[in-house]
Amino acid sequence: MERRKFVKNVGLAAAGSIVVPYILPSGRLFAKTGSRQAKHVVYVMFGGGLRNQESVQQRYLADSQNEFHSDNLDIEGNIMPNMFEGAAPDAKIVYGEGQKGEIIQPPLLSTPLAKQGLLFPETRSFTSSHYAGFVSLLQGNTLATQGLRQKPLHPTIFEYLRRHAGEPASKVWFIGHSINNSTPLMNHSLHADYGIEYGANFFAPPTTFGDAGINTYESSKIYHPEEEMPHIYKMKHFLDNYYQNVGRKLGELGNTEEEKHQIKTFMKDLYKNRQGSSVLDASIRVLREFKPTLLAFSIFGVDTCHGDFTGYLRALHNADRTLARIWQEIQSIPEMKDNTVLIVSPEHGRNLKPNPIRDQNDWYGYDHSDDNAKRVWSLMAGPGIPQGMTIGGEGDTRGTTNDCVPTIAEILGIKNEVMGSGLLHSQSRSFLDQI
Amino acid sequence: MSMPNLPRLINKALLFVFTFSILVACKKETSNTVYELEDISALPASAGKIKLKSEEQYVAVLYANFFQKAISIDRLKQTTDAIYSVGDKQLAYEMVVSNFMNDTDINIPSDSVLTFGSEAELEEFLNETYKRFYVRPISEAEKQWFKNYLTNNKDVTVELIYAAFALSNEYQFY
Repeated sequence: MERRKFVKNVGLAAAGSIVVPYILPSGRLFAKTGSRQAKHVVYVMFGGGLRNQESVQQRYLADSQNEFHSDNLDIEGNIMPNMFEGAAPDAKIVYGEGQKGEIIQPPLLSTPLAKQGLLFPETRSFTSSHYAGFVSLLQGNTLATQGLRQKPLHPTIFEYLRRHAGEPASKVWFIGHSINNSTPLMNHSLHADYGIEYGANFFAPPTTFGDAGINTYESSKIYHPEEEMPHIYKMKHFLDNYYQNVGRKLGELGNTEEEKHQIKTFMKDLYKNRQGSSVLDASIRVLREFKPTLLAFSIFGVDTCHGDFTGYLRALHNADRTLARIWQEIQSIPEMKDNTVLIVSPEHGRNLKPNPIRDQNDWYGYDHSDDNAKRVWSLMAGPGIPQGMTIGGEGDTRGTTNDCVPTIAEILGIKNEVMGSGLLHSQSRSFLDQI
Repeated sequence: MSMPNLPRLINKALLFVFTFSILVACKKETSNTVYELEDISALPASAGKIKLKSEEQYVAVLYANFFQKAISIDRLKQTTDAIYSVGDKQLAYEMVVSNFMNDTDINIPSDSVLTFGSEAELEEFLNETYKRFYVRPISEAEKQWFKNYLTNNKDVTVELIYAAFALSNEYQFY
């Protein structure tokens, strides 16, 4: 009898160990996903549009200003030393600190990310519009019907990840640079099969942790998670169920009560210490607190290029340091070190020819509307990514911004589900399949 | 008239009386009898609420419910911006509600109505709460559920009840 009981228990334990991994937090049984190349992905989206010429091609002022000035501005050089390998410009230094931007700090990384990973120096964006580019980077598709201040029409990588891999909401984050235009709408799509219940947590740090957030949330109570919140939720559930009888129910992001408590406590800590009001700082603190499976964040400073080319160069240089700080932070978190892939891509580029607006250095600005504004690049580094490899180059375009989603999906083990959804652009495929 | 026709006449008369009585007996009842049932609507009062409040509308109405006065434009702008900046709207609303609860100017009933009040006072509190948040009377089912819940959970406060109403789905529609 004892033997029978033992065999039965062993059988149940074995069955449980097989089944349990495929039960999502929501309680649903789900199909097995592929193996993961890394446990975490940090996805950096350059908003605002940056030219390949001043970034990956390291042409500094040579391609942008020299043609239009009597001074010799045929100056080349790398102003993003943490990302790309190459010598800095040797004259007309304006992109650093100090009153004239002449003070340049040494790179934070001893080896540039491109040398640590894989670079696609010449890829394409299907759009040269702000936000439409972001949406493409998040949904792996570029839809002509996508409007401004409208949620993505196709699922985002956040939704694919939460639905197909069963990631909890607190493991999927989008940190946006502001609450303007479409940014706060991009944490989930309107797609009927995905939507809010699979969305990402979102902060816009300048607002969430700036004056508006401080004045609104800092003094909020955190009700006791076991003695007070359960009463609120029980009464709310009764009221919601009663109201649902007449057909009304609001979708929710799906943070559990424990996750909500963790997020509230996290926010209160940042208010107490007056931290988190920049995208970089908030992203670092989200990394430390939640160790997210996917953290996407946007940087937007380069859009000054419309009328302040000098400010654009500084924004490029600052963005380079931001990325280096993020990479350093990833390597300092034991759970994420050597287990995180960093992916970087601009949403779109900028024009080949300048507009008539000149800045304090008499340098011309650039808009984003021509074919050059669809030239971008992509960079990735981390476990499983080939090191020091460059695919394509000027005149040899490889890949598009729509390829970032299937790449993330491959790294996080849901490639088949995402590719099989039929909702990506018809030419989208993982960068890792283009090597 | 000959005598043999008399039975036939009697038979005809009886047949007429019988038929007439049947017709009278089967006449439809037209009295105004009332069986203690009241006219009721097929749908509950909440069914008419089909439009989702915007963040601005939600905050403005919530503030008025809690403080019995209008919110300032500046505070409304800051509060709605803060809501936009958090992806989980329910979480943001929870923090806004609890922030208002921490304000000394808040105007909500004391907990004594739950702990020391009579059953009638409790019912009155529930009626008032439904009117305050939902702008409709409480149904019998709702009243009974809340009476049971509050009877069985003596640690529930007015603040927690108000928070539940402010965070409920019905409150977010109009």
